[in-house]
Amino acid sequence: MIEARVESERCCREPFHERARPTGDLVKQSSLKAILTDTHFWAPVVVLILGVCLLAAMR
Amino acid sequence: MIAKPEINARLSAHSLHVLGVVCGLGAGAWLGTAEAPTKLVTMGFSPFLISLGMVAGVFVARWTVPMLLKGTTYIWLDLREKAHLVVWAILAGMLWAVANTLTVFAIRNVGLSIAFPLWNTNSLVGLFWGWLLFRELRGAGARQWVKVLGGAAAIVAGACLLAYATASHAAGGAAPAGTGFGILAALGAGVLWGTMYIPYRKAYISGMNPLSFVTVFTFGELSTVFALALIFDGGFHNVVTELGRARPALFWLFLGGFCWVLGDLFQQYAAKYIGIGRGIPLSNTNQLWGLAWGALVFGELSGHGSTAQILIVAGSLIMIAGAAAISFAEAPESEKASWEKAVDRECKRYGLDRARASAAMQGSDPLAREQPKRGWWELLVVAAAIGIFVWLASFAGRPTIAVNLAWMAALIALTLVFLVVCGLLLWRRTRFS
Repeated sequence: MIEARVESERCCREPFHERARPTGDLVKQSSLKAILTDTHFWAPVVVLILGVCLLAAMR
Repeated sequence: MIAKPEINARLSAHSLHVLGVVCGLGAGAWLGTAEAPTKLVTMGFSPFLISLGMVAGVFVARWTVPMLLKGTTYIWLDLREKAHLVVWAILAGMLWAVANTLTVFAIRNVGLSIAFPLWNTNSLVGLFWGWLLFRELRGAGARQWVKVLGGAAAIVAGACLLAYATASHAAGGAAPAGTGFGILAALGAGVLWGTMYIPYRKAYISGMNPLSFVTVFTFGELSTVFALALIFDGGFHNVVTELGRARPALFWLFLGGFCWVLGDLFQQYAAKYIGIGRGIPLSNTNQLWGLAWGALVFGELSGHGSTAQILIVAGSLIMIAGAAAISFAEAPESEKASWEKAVDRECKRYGLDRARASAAMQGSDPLAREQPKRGWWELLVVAAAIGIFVWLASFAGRPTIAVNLAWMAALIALTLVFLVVCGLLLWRRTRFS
């Protein structure tokens, strides 16, 4: 409960970006995992590959 | 009796819808205008080179416009806060680049006024993805569905009519195989651009500012276009040689890229505030502008018979009517609740702040309240961008394509009116959030 209150106070004091990204790389490994397991991700990837194939045929 | 806060909330939601609609129309004007310089493809340059030149201009503008409006610190903090969207923005940029290159082939094979409507079927693709992935139109009443689906059917009918007119009444020079490939390229570009709206919408329901999104987006597009030019256009040495040969045309390509960026920004705001299912058809009124530029300024329709011209105009009008019907379908509260579920999904999956994402969707700017600093050197970057344009203009050649100057001046003036109106509305309602 105390931890929750401390967290809540910290949320009000600090800009969100400082809370959300305290350390590390721009894109965290967990974020990459979330992207790769996101079903939304694969539709654009497949369409992109098909588009490149069409360009190759157009050439 | 309706309570005052509820009335205010409805007015606020309505003003966002109006803002989105105006931005969509502004996007149409600027995206249509941006295609005019690609007419230079008829001067004998490779489509990949034309695309590369245009995207280089896009790259310059995509950095300078967001920085001028919001500042680099703001953009950087926004990107850090939703870092996973960097990947999505690059993917969207790659989709844009491949689609853009396809449109150059399409314009070369079937002409601007015909290729335009065909790739504008991207609104159908966007509509589908919006419904499937982002819960757009879920919970909307039968009236909204009729408007949106009726509009979508009209767009398909218009596209078919235009394709028929192209295949049956193609102007003298184009071989049937070339025409077929041109149609395929234009439709392919439509699918790619329609799918590109997945990352767009994903960014905005996560609370990202469109200006931040396009700043990263441009890396995907420039690197992909450069790679395509290297792979398909004879390697690095050939690309550099061709760029040297194309020096007189570079200014026009950069100018096209700059217009494209403005149009794309308005499109991004439309996608943010009214969704991709409604925003994209609106921005697809660029078809009307493309037709106006092609027919009035470049005299493209003069080589076609009267039957073909009637079919092309009728097909275009049907498509516009369809887009208009979709655009007037303002999302009711029940649908907005469905949008919120899509926001929930993103916030849970990527660990985002739900309140900030919602506030950004309502036109607020939580990040701006933290007052990110502006740097003096930002002005230097803007000056450098202007310098690049001036330098390119110093050796720009006059295009050899015949143009109607009076119509060109009229179209440019109208486009500038859209720029001022959209810019003012965005500033007053959202401060470019």
